[in-house]
Amino acid sequence: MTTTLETAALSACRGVAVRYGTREAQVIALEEVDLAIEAGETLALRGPSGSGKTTLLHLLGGLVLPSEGEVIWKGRSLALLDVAARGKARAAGIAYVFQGSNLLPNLTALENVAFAAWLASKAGPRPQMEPEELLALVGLEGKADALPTELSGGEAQRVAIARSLAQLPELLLCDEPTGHLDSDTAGRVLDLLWALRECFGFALVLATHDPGVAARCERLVELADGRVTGGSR
Amino acid sequence: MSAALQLGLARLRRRPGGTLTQGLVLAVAVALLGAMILFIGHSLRTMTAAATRSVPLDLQGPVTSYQKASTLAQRIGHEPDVAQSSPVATAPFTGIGHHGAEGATAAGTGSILAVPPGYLRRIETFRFLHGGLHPGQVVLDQQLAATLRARIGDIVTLQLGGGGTQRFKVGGVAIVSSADVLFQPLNPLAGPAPAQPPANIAILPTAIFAHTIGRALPTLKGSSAGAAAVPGAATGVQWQVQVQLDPAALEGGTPSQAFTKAGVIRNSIERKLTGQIRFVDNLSAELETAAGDALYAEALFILLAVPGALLALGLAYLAALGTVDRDRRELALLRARGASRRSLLGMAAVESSVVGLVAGALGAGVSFLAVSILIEGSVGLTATRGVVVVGVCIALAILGGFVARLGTGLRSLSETVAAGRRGPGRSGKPLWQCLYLDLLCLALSGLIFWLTASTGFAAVVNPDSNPTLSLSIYMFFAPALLWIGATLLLVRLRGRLFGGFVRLLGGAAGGSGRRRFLLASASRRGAAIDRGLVFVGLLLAFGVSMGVFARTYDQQAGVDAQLTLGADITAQAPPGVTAAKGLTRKIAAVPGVSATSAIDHSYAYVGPDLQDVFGIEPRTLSSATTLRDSYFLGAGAQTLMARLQEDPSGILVSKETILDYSLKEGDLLRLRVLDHQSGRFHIVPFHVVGVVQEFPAAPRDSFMVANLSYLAAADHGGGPNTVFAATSESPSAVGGRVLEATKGYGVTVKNIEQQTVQTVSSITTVDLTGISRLEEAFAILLAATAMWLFVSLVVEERRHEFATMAALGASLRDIGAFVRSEALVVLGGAVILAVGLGWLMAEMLVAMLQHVFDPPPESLAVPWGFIALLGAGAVAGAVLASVLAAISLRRLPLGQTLREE
Repeated sequence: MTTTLETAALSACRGVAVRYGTREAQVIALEEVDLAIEAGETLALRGPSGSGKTTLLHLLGGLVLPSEGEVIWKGRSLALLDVAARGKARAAGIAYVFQGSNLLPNLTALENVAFAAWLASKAGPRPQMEPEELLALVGLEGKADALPTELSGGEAQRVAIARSLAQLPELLLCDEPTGHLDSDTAGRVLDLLWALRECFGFALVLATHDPGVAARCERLVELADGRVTGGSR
Repeated sequence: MSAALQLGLARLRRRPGGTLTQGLVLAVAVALLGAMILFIGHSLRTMTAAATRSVPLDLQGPVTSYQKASTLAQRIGHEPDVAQSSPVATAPFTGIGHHGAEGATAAGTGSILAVPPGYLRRIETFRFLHGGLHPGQVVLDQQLAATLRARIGDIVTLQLGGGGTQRFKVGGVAIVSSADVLFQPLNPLAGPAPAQPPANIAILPTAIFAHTIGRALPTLKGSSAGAAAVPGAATGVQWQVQVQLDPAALEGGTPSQAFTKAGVIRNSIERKLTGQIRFVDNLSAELETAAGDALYAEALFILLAVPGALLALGLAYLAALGTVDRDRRELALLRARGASRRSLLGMAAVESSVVGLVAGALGAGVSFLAVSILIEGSVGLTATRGVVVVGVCIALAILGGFVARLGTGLRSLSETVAAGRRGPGRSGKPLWQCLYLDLLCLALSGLIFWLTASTGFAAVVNPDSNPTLSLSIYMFFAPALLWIGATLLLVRLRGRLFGGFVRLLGGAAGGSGRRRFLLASASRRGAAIDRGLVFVGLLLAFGVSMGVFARTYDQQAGVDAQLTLGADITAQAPPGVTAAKGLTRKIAAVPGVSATSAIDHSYAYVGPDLQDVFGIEPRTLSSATTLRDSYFLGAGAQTLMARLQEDPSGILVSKETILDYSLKEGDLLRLRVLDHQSGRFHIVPFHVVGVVQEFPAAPRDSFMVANLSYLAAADHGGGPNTVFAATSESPSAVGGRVLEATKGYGVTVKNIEQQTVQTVSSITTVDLTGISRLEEAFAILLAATAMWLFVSLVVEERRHEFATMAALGASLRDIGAFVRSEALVVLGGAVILAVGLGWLMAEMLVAMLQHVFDPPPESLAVPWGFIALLGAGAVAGAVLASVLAAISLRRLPLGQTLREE
C-alpha cells in the first residue's frame, strides 16, 4: 500500500533518523532530518566526513530505509514501496553519480550507459537519446569500447554522468563526484553537470565538503554528526 | 607476529561467509584424502590377511627320519612367531581293500598322510566329517570311504609297495582339502609345486605310521621333484616338518611387508638349524602373489584416487582464488596503511592455520563417516590410525589453505599499492594460447598413447626378492597430457564461443536486451569462468571416467568370476554321485535354476604334459553358462560346440598345445587318460576340432575340452563330477536352495557372488567397489560443492557491482541473471568436457590397464545411474547456490556495499 502525501516537493525527508546497530553499539548516522527538494533545483549537502551526507543521499534514492520518519518521492513514501518498486523509481527518475564512478567493471563505457538505458526503458518511457548520443554529449564518443579500467578518473566520472542521464533523471544525487579528481578535471566535470542540468532540468543534490563546489548550488544544507546544522531550507 | 595474528583473526571474523566457504571446501577436499588413506590402508591389510589365512600349510621342511622330524618339530615349535610345528609323513600305497557287509571292495593306488595328535589345531589341510584320529586307527578320505563303502569300525587293508600289507580299523572319515600341497614334491630349491592330488588318501597317526609303514617302506633321502606330481609315482616315505606361522606376526601391514616378514622368520629358523632343515615356503609364494596384486591395486588406487584428490585440493585453491580481486584491494589497502610484507605473510599463515585446523578436523570426521557408511564392514579404524588420519587431514588443510592464500596473495605482495587498488583490466591472450599448448598437449598425448599401445602397455610385476611393479612412466603421460590439453582447448573454445555469441547478437554497438549485457559481461569474466569451468569440468570428467572404468572393471570381475567358477552356480559331487543320484535333474528342478549342464573335470597326458580335461555336454552347456566367442580361436562358441556335438571323439585344445605338437584341425591326438578302475593311464584317441583359450572353470594354462560321454567311457570315472547351473534369481539365494536339494550327497555348492569376493588369483580380484563407492560419492559431493562454490564466489566477487546495478534500478531478477548465466556457461562447458574427456579417459584407462582385465572387455560399461546423479549433483549445487545467492542479494546492504572501495 502506498500513501500519497500532500506536498509539492519532488523529494522530501520528514523527521528522518538512520541508526545502525543496537543499544551500546548503536551508531547514529542521521537524526531528525527534515528536507524538501524541489524539482529542478540544485542543493549542496556540506559537512565533514561522517556527517551523514552519503547516508542522506542513499535515503533519498531508497537505497537505505530510515529507522524513523519517512522519505517521500513524488508524493509517495519510499518505505511503503517494495524492493522492486524502489528499483523502478531509481531506474526511471532517481540517478546517482558516485565518488568513485562505480562503473560496472565488465561492461564497456557504452555498455554501462546502454545498461542504464535498458533498465530505464523497462521502468518507464524509452529514453529519447541513444547511449552513443549520451556518450557524445559528455565528450566520450571515442571511448565507447573502453573498459572502466582503461578510462582516466575524469573520463570514468563523465561516463557515470552519461549513464545517469540514460535514466531520464528528475533527481540526480551526486556523492562527492569530484572527490577523486584533480581541480581542473573536477571543474570540467562540474561544468558539465550544470550544463546538463540546464538542458535536462533535473534537480541536483550534491554532497561535498568543498565550499567552492557548494557555492555553485542554489541551496546549501550543512550537516554535522548526522544532524542538519545550518544552511537554507 | 601479534599484529599478524590480530590482522588474520580480524579478517576471518569480518568475512564469516568467505571463511565458512573456504573451510567447508577444504574440509570436503581433505575428507576425500582421509577416506582414501583409510580405505587403501585397509585394503592392503585385508589383502595380507586374506593371503595369510588362505594358506593351509605355511612351511614344509623335508627331513630323512621320524626322529629328526620329531626333534626338529619340537625345537621349531619354540621359535618366536611359530604357531605350530608338527612331524608329518607321506607315503604311497598300491591298493586298499575292505570286507564289509556289502562284500569285498577295493580301490587303487593312493597316498598316506601321517600326522601327530593335535595336528589340526592350527593347520587346516583336512577336516573330519565323522569320527577322528585315534591311536592305531586310520581315517579315510571321503571319496575313498565312499569307494570302499567303509564305515567307522570297519577294517581296511593297505597294500604297500613291495608286497607288504597293513590292517587298520577305520576311526573316521575326512575331507582332505589341501591334498595338492600335502603331497607335493618337497624341493626347497625349487619351491612350492602343488601337484595333482592322489585319488585315494588314508590318514594315520604319526607314531603308529612310524612303527609300521615307516619301517616297511624306504625313506626318501632327498627331494624327488616331479615324482609326486604323478599319482602313485612316489616310492617311499617323505618325512617332513610342517610349520604354521602366527598370522598375527604377519598381518597389519601390506602383503609386501608380510612377504618380507615371512622370509625373515623362515630364514631365522633355517639359520638356527643350519644343515638340518630347509623349507618349501608355501606362504611366501602366496604372499608374493598377493604382493603383486597389491602393487596393481596400489597402481589402480593411485590412478583412481590421485586425480580426485588433486581436484579436491584444486577446489580449495579455487575457494581462496575466488576472492582474489577483493583480497588484492584489501591487501593493497593494508599495505598503504603501513602493513609490511612480513606481517601480511604472517596474516596469511594465521588465516590458513585457523581455517585449516577446523577444516582438517571436520574433514577427518567426514572421512570417518564416509568410510563407515560407504564401505561394508570395518576398515580397521584404531585409535592410532584415527589420530594419524586426523593429523594428516589437518596438516593437508593448513598446507592447502596456506599454499592457496600464498598463491593468490603473492601478486598482491609484489605489485604496487596503486595497481592493487585498481580493478581488473582487459586480459590479453595468455601465453599458452599463443603457443598452442592445448593442441600440442593433445597431439603429444595421442602420440604417447599410440607408442605405448604399440608395445602392449606392458606392466610387469618383478617377482624378485620383493615384488615391484614395472610400469612405463611414459604411459602415465598420455592421460595427464590429455587432461591438460582437453581442458585448455575447452578454455580456448569458450572464449571463441562467447566471441561468436556476442557478434551474433549485434556486438557492443547494437541491441539492448538483457542477454546482450549478460554475454558481454560473461565474455570479459574469462578468468573467473575459466576457473569454474576447469574445476567443475574436470570434476565431472573425472567422475565420468572413474565411473566408466569402475563399472567396466566390475563387469569384467563378474566375467572373470564366472570364468573361474564356471557358472552362476556350480555343484561338485564325489565320483559317481552325479550320475547315480540324478543330480543334474534334481538341480534343474530347483526354483530359480534356469538351465543345467553336467561336467567332468579330470586330467590326461599330452606327451609328458599333464593337462586338465573337461568333459562337457555341448548341447546343454551354452544355456548353463556364458560361452563368449573370445574364448575360442578360429571359430565362434556356437560353431565349436556344434563340431564337438557332431564328433564324439572331438577335442578342443589350447593354442600352446597346437603349437607345441604341430597340430591342426582334424588331426588325431592320442591322450593318456587315467583309468579310475585300474588306477593306470591308458591311451585314448581324440580328434582336434578347434582351439580354446579360455573356458569356464578351466585353469589359465593349457587344458582341453572333450565330449563328456566319450571321456566317461574312457576313464571309467563314474561320469560327471560337477554340475553348472544358470540362475534366473540371485545366485546366492538359489545356491542355498541347491545345497538343500542335494543335502546328504556330499555336494559342494558355490555361487558366483561368493566367487567374485573370494577369487584371489587374479588382478581383477582387487576390490574396487569400496574405492569407487567413495570416489563416486565424493565426485557427486565435489561436483555439487564446485558449482556451489562457483556461484557463491560470483556473488562474493561481484557484490559491489551488483549493488551498483541495484542502485541503477536493476531488479533482483536482472541481477540474478548475471549469476545464473555464468553458472549455466560453466555447467554447459563442464558437461561438454565431461562427456568428451570422461569418455576418452575411460577408453585410455581401460586400454592402458588391459592386463588388469582378463578377459579384455568387449565394450565399456556405462554407469548411467551414477552419471545422472553426478549431473544432478552439479545442477543441485548450482540451484542451491543460486537460491542462496538470491537471498543474499535480497539482503545485500546496498548503502554499506556501495561505500566499499
